[in-house]
Amino acid sequence: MNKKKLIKPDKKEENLSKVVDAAKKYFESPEFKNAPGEMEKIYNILTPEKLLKRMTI
Amino acid sequence: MIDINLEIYNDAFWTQFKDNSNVFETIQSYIDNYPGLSKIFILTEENYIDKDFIIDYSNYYARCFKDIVKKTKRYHFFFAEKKEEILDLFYSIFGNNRINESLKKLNSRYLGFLVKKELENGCIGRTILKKYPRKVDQNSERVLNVACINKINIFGIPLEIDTLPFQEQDGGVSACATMAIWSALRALSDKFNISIPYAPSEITSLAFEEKSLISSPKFPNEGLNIHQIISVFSKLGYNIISYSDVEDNEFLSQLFRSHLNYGIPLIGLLEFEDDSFRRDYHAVTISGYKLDNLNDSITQLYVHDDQVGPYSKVNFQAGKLWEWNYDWFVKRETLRKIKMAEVLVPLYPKIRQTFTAVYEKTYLHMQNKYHLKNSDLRIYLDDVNSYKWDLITKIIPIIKNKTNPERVLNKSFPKHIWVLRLKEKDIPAVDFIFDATNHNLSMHECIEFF
Repeated sequence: MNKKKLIKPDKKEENLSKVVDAAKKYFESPEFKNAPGEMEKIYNILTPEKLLKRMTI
Repeated sequence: MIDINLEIYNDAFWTQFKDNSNVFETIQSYIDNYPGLSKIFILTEENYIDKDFIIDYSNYYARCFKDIVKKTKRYHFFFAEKKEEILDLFYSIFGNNRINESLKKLNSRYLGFLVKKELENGCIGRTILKKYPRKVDQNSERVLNVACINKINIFGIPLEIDTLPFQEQDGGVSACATMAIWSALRALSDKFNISIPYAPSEITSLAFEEKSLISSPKFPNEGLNIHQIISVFSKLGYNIISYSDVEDNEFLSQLFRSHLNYGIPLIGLLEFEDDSFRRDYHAVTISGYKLDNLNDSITQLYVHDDQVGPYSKVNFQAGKLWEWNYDWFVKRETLRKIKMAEVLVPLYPKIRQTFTAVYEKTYLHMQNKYHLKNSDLRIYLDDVNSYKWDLITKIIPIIKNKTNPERVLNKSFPKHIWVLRLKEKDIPAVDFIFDATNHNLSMHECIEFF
């Protein structure tokens, strides 16, 4: 008999397993690949005015 | 036998810098408070030709009417109980006696050096000082991975220090932005090997190749604008990713940690606001941070500020990582607020996936969907070699399931990766590996450790 099968995974590992499986599935899905990036439009924009800010100190 | 003149170090040493330097007090405090040091001894190298200064001299100072001395003095700092301990190490190397052992010991007793230029302003030139140890106390540590190997030669004896070089602005060939770039390039050149470290005057000249809608002269330099700063990095082969007006602690904390851990320096562009709401701008190199391990949070940043000093400690106003509180409030009485308005991240061009997308699409997704605590999740940038070495040395020894990480050791990986690490009770549980070199964000591997 396979001893491993007799050992029940504890609840936490079971939960973790579920989270990991779901996350893995999501990271491989087209939904993830096509997810729009909203934050880049907020944080990664340098306006022409900002470009001309001069570091004078 | 060479005559080695080691002098005892004390406060009087700094008198010569009082009228010509804005940063000597911070450097003095850095040396005086270096943990675990006994006595310090100074070895003076007269008529030292500093490569950076000789280039700056030929680009600018040589054509000034006033006589400027082109040679410098270099002061080396050693620590020991008695100066004979240091002298014995030197003489045993000269005598070819236990040369490797003595060399190692001498290197361990070497704190570094500073170059003094004979300039009216900004006389402290290239300064290489050993980093403070990683451990601060039981619950906190300094993360100072932004550094490079500095090879130093004294009387033909090769020593080296792993640290981030610093120098003060001279107001002639450089202002703050030039010096922030100068320090950053030291670490970047060492890490990515795609550019040579430039002298300050060369950096300023490179910036002024850009038509930047500025009517100021190149030399004496009155500062660079953001466009010029970015253009310098671009010309040297780096991509610059800018982050503007970020007022989000979690975002900034992950941004700092993911790059600084990997050894990438950040350029912080600061907005100074005074009592009358007048605004000035300043550039610094962000070189590390202090981590509170209990709360898994950044409690201080370390910056190379060319007007304050190396590894200057930055605290935060009301815990906001974008509102800084440091020595400037003592230097400028009218100062009301320092805001980190922009962060520039210079990246090796093969790193095509940048922080924001990875943070939003992986870290935030996991956090929101599964209600995970901040301390359970980390994202960081890495390269395949250092990641696999971490698996071998840090992960495999502490986890139950060793098969999965061992399995990936002989697998092919992209050179640069983003890692999303999920932890369970502080122990790594799973790593989601994303290819940082691909134009689309894609998962390369998932390694379960439980």
